[in-house]
Order: sequence, then C-alpha cells, then structure tokens
Amino acid sequence: MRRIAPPAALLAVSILMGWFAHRLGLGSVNRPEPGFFPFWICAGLAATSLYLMTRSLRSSPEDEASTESGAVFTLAGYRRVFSVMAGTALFGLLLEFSGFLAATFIFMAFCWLVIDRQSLLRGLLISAVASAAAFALFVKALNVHFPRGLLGF
Amino acid sequence: MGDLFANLYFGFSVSLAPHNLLACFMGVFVGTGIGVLPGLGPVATMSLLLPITIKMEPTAAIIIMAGVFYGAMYGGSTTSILLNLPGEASSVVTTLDGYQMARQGRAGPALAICAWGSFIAGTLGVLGITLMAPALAEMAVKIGPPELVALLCLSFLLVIQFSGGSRPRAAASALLGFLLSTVGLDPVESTPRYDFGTFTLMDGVGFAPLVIGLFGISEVLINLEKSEKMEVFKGRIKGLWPTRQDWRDSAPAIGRGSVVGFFMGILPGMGTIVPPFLSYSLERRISKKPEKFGTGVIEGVAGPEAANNSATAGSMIPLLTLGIAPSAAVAVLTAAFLTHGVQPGPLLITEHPAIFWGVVTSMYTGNALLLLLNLPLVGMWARLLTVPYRYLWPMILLFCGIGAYSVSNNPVDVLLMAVFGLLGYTMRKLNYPGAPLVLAFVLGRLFEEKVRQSLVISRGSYETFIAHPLALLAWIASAILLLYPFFTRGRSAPHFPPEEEE
Repeated sequence: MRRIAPPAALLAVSILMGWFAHRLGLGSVNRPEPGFFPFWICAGLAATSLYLMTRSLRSSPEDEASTESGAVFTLAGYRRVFSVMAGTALFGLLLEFSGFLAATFIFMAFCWLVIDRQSLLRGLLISAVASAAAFALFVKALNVHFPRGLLGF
Repeated sequence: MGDLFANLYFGFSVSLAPHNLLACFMGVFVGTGIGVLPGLGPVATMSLLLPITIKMEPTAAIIIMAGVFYGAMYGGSTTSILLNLPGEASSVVTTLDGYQMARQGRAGPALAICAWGSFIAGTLGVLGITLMAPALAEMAVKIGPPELVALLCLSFLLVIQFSGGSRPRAAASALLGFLLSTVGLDPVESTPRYDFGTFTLMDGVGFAPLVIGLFGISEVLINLEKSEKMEVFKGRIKGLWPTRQDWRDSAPAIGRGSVVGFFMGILPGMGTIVPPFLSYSLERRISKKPEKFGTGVIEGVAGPEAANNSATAGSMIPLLTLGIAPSAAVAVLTAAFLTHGVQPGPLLITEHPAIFWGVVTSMYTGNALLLLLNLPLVGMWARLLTVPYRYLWPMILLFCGIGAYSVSNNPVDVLLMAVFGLLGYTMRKLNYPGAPLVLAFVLGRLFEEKVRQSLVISRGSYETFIAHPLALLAWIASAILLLYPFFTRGRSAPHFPPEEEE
C-alpha cells in the first residue's frame, strides 16, 4: 500500500488538474489556449505516475526496502511534523491579529514548550529573548513591515 | 581584450562601492555561517533573504544572494572536517579524507587547503565567467523561441538524470513543478488558471513560500528526527598554513578540480554536488597511491573542494547568458533578478552592465573575503558548531515564516509555506528529489510561453522545433539522454546525495 500510495496520489492530482485544464480550453496546435500546456503536463504526470505504480506493484518488498528510506513514517514522526505544521500555521494566522512581536513570542513558546518540552521558565525566557532579538533585527534594523495587530506593535 | 579590462574596471568600480562591498561581506559571512551549520542550506537561506533584499538596490541584492551561494561552499567543508558531517551536500566527499586528517591532528592543514583550494578555484571560475559569458551572451541573443524550447528540454532532462535517485520520480517531481507554475494568470492571454476563486492564487504560487517550505521547513523536520548527538572535534586547530609538501600534493588536484567543477557546473542538473564526486574519483584514479584515499590524503580534500567552488561560478554562466537556472540555488538567484525587474539572459550584459559586471567582479572580492573569514576565524566557526540544534530549529522556523510572509505581506503565504514544507518532507521521505520541482517551477512559465509562441509563429508546425541546427543538436542530446538508461540497464547508476541541501 505504502509503495503505491504516492504515485496514486500523483495520478489523482493529474486527473483532477487535467480535467480543470480541459475545461479552460485546449485550443488547437496553431492557436493553443490557456488549458493546452497544463493539460499536456497533466498527461505526462499521469503517464509517469502509472509507470511508477506499475513498477511498485512489480517490485518485491525487499526491493522497496533497498530503494526507499526504510521506516518512512512513524507515529512520533507524524506528531512532530503536524505539531511543527500547526505551529507554523498558527504563526501565520496570529500575525495579522496580534502583531509580529506577540505572534513570534507565542510561536517560539509553542516550539520550545510544546514540541521541544523545555522547562516552563527556560522555555518562556528563551522565547522572550528570541522574540525581542527577532523584533530588533527585522522590524527595527531591517525595517521589514509587519502588521501591528491589536497590541499596536 | 581592451574591452575586457575596461569592463572589469567598470565592474570593480561598482562592486567596490561601500554599499556593494558591505553586501558582499554580508553575503559571504551569512553563506559561511549556514555552510558551517548543518540544517539550513543555501537554497532556503537565499529564499529567506529574498524579501529582505527587495528594498535594496538590485546590484547589492544580487551580490548578497550570490555571496551566500558561494560562501556556503566554503563553510560546508569546515563541518565536514571537524564533525564528519557535511554542512552542505556538496561537501560530502570532503568528509572522507578531511575528517581522517583531523583525527590525525592535521585539521589545520585540511581546513587551510580547503580555504586556499576554494579561493583559487573560485577565482579561476570567476575568470572563466569573465572570459566566456560575454561571448556566449552575444551568441545567445540570436536564439529564438524554438531553440530555447529545445535547450530548456535538454536542461530538464539533465536535471532529471543527475538529481540523484530514481529518474521517473525526478520526472514526476519536475512535472509537478511545471503544474505549479501554471497556477495564476496564463502568460499569453492572462486568463486565470487554477485560482479556485482566490486572489492569492490568481497571482500564482509564490516562489518564496514554495522554496522555503520545500527546502527550509522540510530540512528542519528531517533534522528533528535525527536524535544522534554531534561529536565536535575537540583538539586545538593548529598549522593553518599548509607545508611545502602539502602544496606540492594539492596544487595539481586544485587545478584539475577547478576545471572539472567549472565545466560540470555549466551543465544543468550537475549543481555543486556531482563535480566534487567526479573530482574525487578522478584524483583517486590518477593517483600513484589510490589505496590511501579515505585515510586522510590531502588531494582527496583539495580536488573536491576546488570542484564545488568552481562549479558555483560555472553554474552562473547559463543564468547570465541564457536566463536558464541549472540548479535550485541558481533558480533562487533567477527569482532575485526577476523580483528586481531584471530579466537574466543574453540582454543582461547590454541592458544592465552595472549589474552584470558588478556581480561578476564582486565574486573576485567575495573569494578574497572568504579566505580572510575562513582562515583566521576558523576557531569562531568551529565554536558555532557547539550550539545545540534544539536551540536553533525554532529560530530557523521563525526566519522561514518571516521570509514567506514578507515578500507580499500576505499571511496566506505562511500557510502555503507550511503546506509546501509538508510536501517537501514527504518527498524527501519517499526519495522524490526537490530540485527538479523548483527548476521546473521557475522555468515553467518561460517554457510555456516559448512553446506557445513557437506554435503560433509556425502556425502549428512541429517542424519549427527541429528547423534550427542548435535546436536539432539539443534534441539529439535529449534523445541520447532519454535512451541512455536502456543502454546501461543492469549497471548501477552512480549515486549522488539528493540536491535538497545544495
């Protein structure tokens, strides 16, 4: 299942996007329309995915172990990946609402306290120092514009 | 020749202006730092710098980005020698003999020959650009859409061939990159495509969220899984001046590595990873004591280090003359040019001579600065290695978020970056290389535009693609590349590390 899932996902993407491209209009060879190029890219992707699927089905599990990176995903790995993704998404969502400094502090605290399991005091302290340093570097020194948010900074 | 000196003089007058010199120093300093630290490669770092350099003058912005690119090659070797862990994928080979030298108490000469070899090769590479780029740019002006389509096809096939690992997976990755490049307004008729009714996607997928996610975030996720503690070389680094014998052993290797690296760097797909491997095997093949390789021979350090540095210079040639990025790092440079409204390619030298000659000459200055940064300050870079990764990764994630947000001040880009981070992580886990995706994404719109232009101009005749000798030559080379696996079936393909960390 694991071997066939990635090319199957690619095949699904290519069929879906190819259908959208077809709806945009392919035109003709002497006057290609907006859907022409993506449609043929999707066709190529579908063909490659089918080839990868066929090859995966033909290969033995031993072959797979030698070609792919062993234990690919673990439960702990999933947790960490989705925690990091959630933290990053949270930073994006908080930026507009709470402003750069608060969003950075919350994000840093989330990383060090929730994901890295640092002690509360140390986690909060390094989050505060890191947020202040990032604010000084990006906002004050490099003059990058960030939303001020509800707190005004 | 007189013109060349006049151009160089003009270039130096631009690159030695205080703000450009400062940009060069900042670029090579940051480049060395990220090269030393395993965990953030030059591709992700250059993408992070993209929004920060938007407000800078174009020449300074490109100088700083280029500085990060070739500076990382210098820094990568320090980690390889002191830690037995390559700071960059391009320094993998350096670990073989470099770390052994460090264990034998010869870390100083190994680091010194790396720095000198990199300096000599980098300078020779830039000399190669200076001599070749203007002539190639003059030739490239005459290239029409059908020839460009053929050359781009050849480039994509080379990238697929040499990206490391399975070719079909690399092809799937490149096709996904093409597909992502079609999101947004169509380049000919400005019809929205795949925008799903959102304004964010109508502008297309942002380059910064894509590259930062694919390389930066995925790198953090992969590194977080590695639980092993890094063993840093504890001995005192001494003897930072190679002996006369070291020089005698290394000089020919540096010369050969420079030539191999420069010419391999020009070819798309080679990047800076393949040339050091080729240089190492060349040195071993012609050595009188091949069995000693891997036990701490200085030629095994000098050749590959020279090769990866001259490859950075070589890889600038397709960008500066044709506007084609041969590697993921150069693709970020392409984005930097485009962000500043400058189209890299054959007209760059005539339309923006200050940028062209300023950037080229800054590379001479940058190489000299790197020598100063890497030899006397090697102790400082070694101390940087003692910072635990658990304190670094949240900062790297924060920089990634800031980089993605500040290109267009859109929080959706941070979410997109997270999505591409997940995609990059999954791709790396499943051995799908990321470099073909990025290159196809960057060159996809140009490719589509030229394909459609060629078809419209020729009124739908496919013959236009083979009507020109250059195009025909490129198609023949592409056909050979496509058929190559059938002739070599049964033989194991050379394995190079994936390009992600390039």
